[in-house]
Amino acid sequence: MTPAAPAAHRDYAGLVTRLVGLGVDVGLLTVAGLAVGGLPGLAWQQVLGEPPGWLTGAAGIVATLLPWLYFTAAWMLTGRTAGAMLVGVRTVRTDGRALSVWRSAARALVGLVFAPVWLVGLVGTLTDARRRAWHDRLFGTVVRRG
Amino acid sequence: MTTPARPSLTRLALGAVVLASERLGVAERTRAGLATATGLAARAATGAREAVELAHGAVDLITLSGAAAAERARAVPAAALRPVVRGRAVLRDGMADARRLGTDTLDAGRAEALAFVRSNVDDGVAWAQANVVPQIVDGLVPHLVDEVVPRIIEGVLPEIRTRVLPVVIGDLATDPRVRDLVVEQGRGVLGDVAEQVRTGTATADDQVEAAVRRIFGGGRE
Repeated sequence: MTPAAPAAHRDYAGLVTRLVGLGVDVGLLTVAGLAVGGLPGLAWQQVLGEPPGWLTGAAGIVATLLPWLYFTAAWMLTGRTAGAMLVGVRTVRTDGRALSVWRSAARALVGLVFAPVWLVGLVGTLTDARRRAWHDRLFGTVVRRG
Repeated sequence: MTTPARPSLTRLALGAVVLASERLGVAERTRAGLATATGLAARAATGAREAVELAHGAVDLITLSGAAAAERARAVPAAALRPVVRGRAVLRDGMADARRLGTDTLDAGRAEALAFVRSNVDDGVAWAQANVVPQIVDGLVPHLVDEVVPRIIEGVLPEIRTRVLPVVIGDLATDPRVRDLVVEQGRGVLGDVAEQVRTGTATADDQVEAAVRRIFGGGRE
C-alpha cells in the first residue's frame, strides 16, 4: 500500500468531532449492551420461568465484551465505527495503513479500561499538528476525515 | 367584404335531396336519373320562357303589316322555328345535355346545401353554447352536487375500500420503482443530516482550537 499524501491540519478530526462520534458510539453500545445482557434472561423468564445462572452470566460477559469487540472489529475492518461514519472520520496508522487486529484490540482495551484517561487525552488534539490524542501517539494512529 | 349570394330555394332543396341520398346510400343509377330529370325540368323551364317570347312575337306580327311585318319576321330566331322532333340522335343528344345540366345543377345545389347546413349548425352550436348550455349547467350542478354525487359516492366508496384500495396499495408496495424511490429519499435525508453534522463538527473543531490558542497562547507542535 502506498503511503498517504501529506494532509492538512483540517484533514484530521479535532476534539468536537471525536466527542460527537464517541457519543454516538456510547449511545449505541448502551442500547446494545442492555439488549444483549437483558433480553436472553427476559425471554427465558417469559417462556420457562426463572433464568439459570449460566445464562445470566453468559449474557453479562457478552454484554461486557461487546464494546471491546465492537471497537476492535470496526477499527480493524474499516477504520470506522458508527459514530465515526456519522461525522465522516476514519482511524488509520500514521502512514495511512489500516490498523492490525492486535493494534485495534489494544487501542480498544486501553480506551475502555482507562476511559477517563482516554477522555483527558483528547486534549492533545488541541495542540498537535495532526490533531493526535495521547492514545494516538501511543498506538501510532491518526483520525482522518473522509 | 362581399355579401354572399342568397341561395336559391330550388337548388337548396335539390342539394338537400342529394345529401340525403348520399347518407342513405342511394344507387348511382338513381342519382343519374335524378340528374337527368333535373336537366329536363330546367330545359323545359327554359323552353317555356322561349315559347312565351315567341308567342309575343307572333302576336306582334299579326298586328303589323307589309314591310314592317317582314322585317319583324326576320328577327325571329331560326332555332325557334325548327321542328321539335328530328329523330333518335336528336333525342339522345338532348338527354345527354339534360343529364350534364342536371348534374351541374345538383352539384351546385349540393354545395349550397352543405354550406347552408354547416353555417346553420355552427350558428346553432354557438347559440346553444351562449344561451342554453350555461342555463342547463347552472340548473344541473346543484342537483348533481346535492343529490346525485353523494348517492354515487355512498354506493361506490365501500367497493373502492374493499376491492380497489387493497389492490392499489399492493401494487405500490410491490412496485420496485416505488421502493427505490423510498430508499433513495431515505438515503438523501440521512446523507443531508450526516453532511450537516460533519460540517458543524469541523467548524467547531477550528473554533475550539482558536479559543484555546487565544487563552493559553502558543501554536501547534
